[in-house]
Parts: sequence; structure tokens; C-alpha cells
Amino acid sequence: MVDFSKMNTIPDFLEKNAQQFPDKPALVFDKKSFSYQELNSQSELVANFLLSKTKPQDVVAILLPNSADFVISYFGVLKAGCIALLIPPNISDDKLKFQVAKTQPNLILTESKYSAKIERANLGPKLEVIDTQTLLGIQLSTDQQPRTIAPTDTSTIIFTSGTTSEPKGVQLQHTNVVNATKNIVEFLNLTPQEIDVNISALSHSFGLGHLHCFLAVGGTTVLFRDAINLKEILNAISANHATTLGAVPAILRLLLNNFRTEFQEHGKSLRIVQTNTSPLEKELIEGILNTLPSTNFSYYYGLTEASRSTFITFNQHADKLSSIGQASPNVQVEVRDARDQVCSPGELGEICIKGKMVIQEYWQNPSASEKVKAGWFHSGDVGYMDPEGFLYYKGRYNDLINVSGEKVSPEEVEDLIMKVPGVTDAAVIGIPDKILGEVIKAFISVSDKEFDVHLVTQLCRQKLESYKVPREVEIIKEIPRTDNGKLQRNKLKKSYTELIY
Amino acid sequence: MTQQNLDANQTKLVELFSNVFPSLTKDSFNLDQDRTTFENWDSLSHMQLVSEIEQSFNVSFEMEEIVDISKPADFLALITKKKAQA
Repeated sequence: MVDFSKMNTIPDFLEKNAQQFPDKPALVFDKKSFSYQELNSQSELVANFLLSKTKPQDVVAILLPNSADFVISYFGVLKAGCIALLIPPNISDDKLKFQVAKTQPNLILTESKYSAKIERANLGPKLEVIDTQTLLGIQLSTDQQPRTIAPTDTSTIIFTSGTTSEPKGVQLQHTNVVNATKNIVEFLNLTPQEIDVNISALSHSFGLGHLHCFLAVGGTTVLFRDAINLKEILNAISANHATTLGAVPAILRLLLNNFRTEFQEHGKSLRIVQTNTSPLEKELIEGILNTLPSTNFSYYYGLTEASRSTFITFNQHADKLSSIGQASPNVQVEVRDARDQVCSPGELGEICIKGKMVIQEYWQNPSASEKVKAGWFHSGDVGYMDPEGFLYYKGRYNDLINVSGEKVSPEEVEDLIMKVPGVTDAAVIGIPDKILGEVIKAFISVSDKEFDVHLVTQLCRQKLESYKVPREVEIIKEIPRTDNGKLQRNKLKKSYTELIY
Repeated sequence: MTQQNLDANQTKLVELFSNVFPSLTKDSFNLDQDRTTFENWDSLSHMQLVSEIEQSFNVSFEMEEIVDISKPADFLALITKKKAQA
């Protein structure tokens, strides 16, 4: 059993294991291995570099793909007592500008391929751009005293799509992350013998959470830049005798549908396969269980704001395949009605979560922070609980669209479309796509019969991440709304589905 | 396949790439540029490209082929192959 009693902050994961397992590989990336001692000392050098340039709890932005540089930079920022703003590399220029304006970092750690993006976003002269490839290649000094970090200090900001057009900065404290990690390690019974293949983006909570777990237990992370080359990933599982794999459902589907034999062959060493981000169909669960019968297949439900709130290992609950699990260790989950009262078993309501991994507030966003009431995070997700405490997910109060795990707020796209001259009303829904799960479809009403729909996609391409750009734009006479003006996306979705099937 | 068809395919490919990578221009498009050097050619944009290209060229790729694509030229070669088989 891993001892968490001396782990109070995220850097403790690395520091404790650098003492306990100095020469053990902590990270393997691009065929290069980093021991705990190497990873710890390299991140200390980055921290030392940052000490002279920052004050405690300054925000430092990280715009990097999955890489050893990412891990070293992230721990360097945290060891310097600063807050890591994790920027996903696929961010739009406008969103990059927004996140930087909102959090005011003085420094951005990045690599040269993003310099054009940073320039386009026009982030202002105050922001110092540091190329990590240059930084990690020079002799950094170690002469400064490290900063003391409190468990309640903010560690990380990750922006998420919200129910409104403005993304919210999820403000995680060290203690949130440490407790989430502890809960996962406890549920999955992770040990120092684990070797994890991590193919998920570290700028997102899913991939980063995996990294935390395996560094905390003294295991090894085999990190991939992305999940494109599935054959290479399968080879890495067998070559490294990997014990755990985390992958979003879309990747598991691709593996099962296209590489089932190879998955079975290369996946023999896997003790656990984990997934989350969207509900699973029965065929996928049974497919994994049949393909890897000796492997535990676990699903968890969680949000960046309340990481890994429930867990289920399907091998042990064949009668609960449509459930998203029971409350994780040390976590309370309730389903509540509109009056914030706990629902009876089977009754639909909002999924609410309490635990030490739940955030206190969003970054400088008091209205969004009202989602946390007396320690209970109100998720906006709808579900019910059965008499045995298994939770079932039934959708969202809002209409977030899931494009291969990336959440898209329809309001964000609609607000932008409304800026196109000639558009009088707009509604956006998700429509099925065999590869991406869902893609965006926009319905618009216009004032001019000759309206060119390309104007809509043109503006969206300029301003939004590419996965948010509507695949289809359709002009309709009137966007359905209720008498008090509320958009009825469900009607559009229903009529689209009836048309297609 | 004629040179004219190849050119037309390439022109369409540039357009589809710039749909997924808006900062890409016709001048900066390089068929042999490795995907790791693109600003954000990640798993999601890879699948977006596949989805858009399949739809636009009316072709269907095998997953074996998809995972091996590492530069725009690989897409062009696959499109040419599929069109020849059709």
C-alpha cells in the first residue's frame, strides 16, 4: 500500500520517489528514459530558473504537447510555488488570448512550433516566451532556495467548456490533486510495480491524472505524444510489459474494431484498462472483457472540477454494465432534485459530488463558483442512483456536444454565428459521426434569401478550434424556441434524427 | 491518374487541411511536412482529417492505413490508390 501521509503537494510525488527509487524509470518518452532522480533534478532546475522571475502563486503558462519537456516544465512550475496554466496545443488563437488575459501569466513555457500561434494571438509585450528546448539545453543554476508550498495553494488552472460561451478556469489546489490521486490509487490498488502507457493529453485532466497516479506510487509512465499510431502503442504495451492503459472510449473502439487480435496479443500484460469522458455502450464493454479476460476494465465518472468521482470495474459487476459506478473511496455522491433535496433511488436529478478532490472555486469567476455549495459540486449532469448506490448517467442539463471527448458548448458556437451579418438566429447541435462520435451542425435563420452559408464556416474557422467548426450549416425558416424565447435544441435534434434514420 | 487529377486532388487536400489547421496557407503547405511539426496535428485533428477527406473524396480508408499516415503526402497517396481501385 502506498503511503500518502507524507504527500501533501504534487511535487511530493516526485520528491518522495526520487528518494525511494532514485534510479527507477519514472518516465519513458520517445525512447528516452528518465529516472525519478533525473526527472526531479531537471524540474528543480526549471524551478530555480523560475524563482528569479516570479513571485509565489504567479501563473506560468505551459503550451506544450505531451513530452518529457511538458512533465519537467510542469513540475518545475509547481516546485517554484507557481500556478501552472495548462493550455491545450489545439487551442484557437482567440481562446489562447482569452486564457492569458484572464490569468495574466508573466511567462509561457512552450516550443518553437507554437511561436506563430503566440504571435497571432497577440498576447502583449509583458509575456515572456520561453522555449523549453532551449531552456533545458542550457546550464541552469541551482543556487536559489526553493519555495515552501502549502497544500491549499493553487497548483493548476485548466479551462473547460461551460454552459455559457465563456470557458471557466478550473482552479485546482495541490490538496485536490493529491486527494484525487489517493482515491484512484486506493480504488485500483496501484503499486510501484505499475507500468502505465499514457496516450492521453497531459493538458487535460484525464491524461494528467494518470501521470500523477503513476508518479505517486513510484511506477513508470510510458508517454506518447498522441494516440494516432495505435500499432506502435500496442507494441509499446507488450515491449514494456505495461500493466495499465488509459484510453478514451473512441480509442478503445478503434482498437476493438480494427486491431482486436493485436490488442489481445499485445495486451496480455495489462492488469487494468481504464476509460472515461463519455458513457460506454454495452458492446464496447463486452468487447473489452472478451478480448482481455484477465484484465480489469474500469470506468470512472468525473470532471476536472471533481476528478474521478465514481468508479466501476465491470468484471465484478456484470449486471451493472450501464452504470457509471459507485462513489470513489473518500467521496460522497448524491442525486439531488431542483430544490437541492436528495432524490429517492431511481429518481432523476442532478449529480452532486463532495470530497477533498472537489475544487473550492473557479478562477476569478464568482458566478460559476456558485456550483460549489457547502462543499458539494453541482455537476450539471443528470442521473439516478439505484438502491445499491450505483449511479446511472442520463445526460446533461445543458446541451454540451462531445466531439471525440472534447466538450463543445453550443452557446459558444451560436454566439459567434450570430455575429455573421445576415444571420438572425442560430442553434447548434451535435450530429452522429462514425469516427468522431459527434460533429457540429448549425441551423440558422437569415434575413437575406441569397445568404452564403460559407460566411458562417469562414468565421468559425477563423475564431474557433477546428473541432468546433460546424460540419454542416442549414438555413431554416425559424429556429424553434419556447414562448419565453428559450432555444429548443432537442426539437432540432429530434427532427434531424428522424430525417436520417 | 492524370497530372490534372493529381493537381486537383492536391488543391482539394490543401483546402481540407486548412479547414482543420486554419493557420495553414497554400504557400506554407508542404506535402512532406511531418505531422509532429504541425502546430496541432493531434489524435483528434488526425481523425477530423480522415473524416473530412473520406467525405470529400468519397473514399474509405482502412484503419491499418490511417494509423500509418504521418504527412500530407500519405493522404494524397492513399486517395490516389483508392481512386485507382474504384
